[in-house]
Amino acid sequence: MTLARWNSTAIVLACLAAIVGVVVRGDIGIAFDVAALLLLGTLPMLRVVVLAVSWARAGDRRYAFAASAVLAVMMIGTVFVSVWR
Amino acid sequence: MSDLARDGLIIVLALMTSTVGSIGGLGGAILLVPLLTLGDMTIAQAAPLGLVSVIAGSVAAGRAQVRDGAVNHRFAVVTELGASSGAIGGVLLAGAISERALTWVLAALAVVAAAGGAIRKGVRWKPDASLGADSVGEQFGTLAGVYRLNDQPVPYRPSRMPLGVALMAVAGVVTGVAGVGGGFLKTPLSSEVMRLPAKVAAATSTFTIGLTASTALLLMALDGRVVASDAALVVLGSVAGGTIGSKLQRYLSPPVVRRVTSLLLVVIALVMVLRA
Repeated sequence: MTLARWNSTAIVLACLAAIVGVVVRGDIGIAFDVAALLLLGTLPMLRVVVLAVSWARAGDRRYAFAASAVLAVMMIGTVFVSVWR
Repeated sequence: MSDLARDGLIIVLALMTSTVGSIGGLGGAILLVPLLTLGDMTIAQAAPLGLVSVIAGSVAAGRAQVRDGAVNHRFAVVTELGASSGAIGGVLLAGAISERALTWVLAALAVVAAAGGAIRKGVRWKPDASLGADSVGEQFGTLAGVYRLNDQPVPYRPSRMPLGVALMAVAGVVTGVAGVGGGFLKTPLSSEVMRLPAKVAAATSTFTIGLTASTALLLMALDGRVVASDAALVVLGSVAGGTIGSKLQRYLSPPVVRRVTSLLLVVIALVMVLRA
């Protein structure tokens, strides 16, 4: 339930930022557009971080490890691909 | 077209594609990107917006899907290990395969996946009256879980995981090469190979494609390919679309979800063939 509430708060904030970005043009508008993108773009990964921590706390080590491994693969992959390009 | 009409059209297209995408767990980028290119956008400009649409639709749908216990996060991270590793390999392979050949392969895979979902009849997992409403969700330490179907708890247990994760890695390669979220492969693999209920497969896939898309968007942002003002419009449309789609999904029976998914897959295959 906490995860759902957390998700909802981030979505509302992202939508508010996107609305301000659409209504207000210029540098301020773009700053809000970027804020909306950052909020939404990091949310799926933050969800995995929250899952890894909550599973580790609950003693579900196998899946805490799997969640951490997904994050590690994604981070290593991002660095690897950006260097490769 | 005036700026206001263009902005409105982007919001409406994002809303429509995210709604249908989140019902079947397919994302919506595969529909949105070709539609945006019908206007004044190139594929290179539309692709990042497609990813924004996938992420926004994914997190918006996730709100209701997490509350309903429809997402199996343990299943998601296990299969995503294979898919992410494959996707990185796919990104590195991109360019080695011609776009035309790739499009035909993707279209063929979409048709095979559509046939797999359409052929099967009935509901695989049956409600268990002995389970209480509080049992809905994932089970500690296993990939099994319970989901809600017409207000009745239905237990399920995925199977054939090694084969499924291996196929997810192949799906990851395909999506990495093609630069798409991959929901149209992940959802049928989860439901038909690993035997997850259709609703759980769609909800779990909606979560994992958001994860894959956020990594891909980061790479595109590093390349300077993301137009923030257009992306904000897609955020507004896709958050609304993802919310509507996840609410509709709650009221649809598993065979209907499967048929909607199959129909969308055929549409996707047609769009790909027409683009090729």
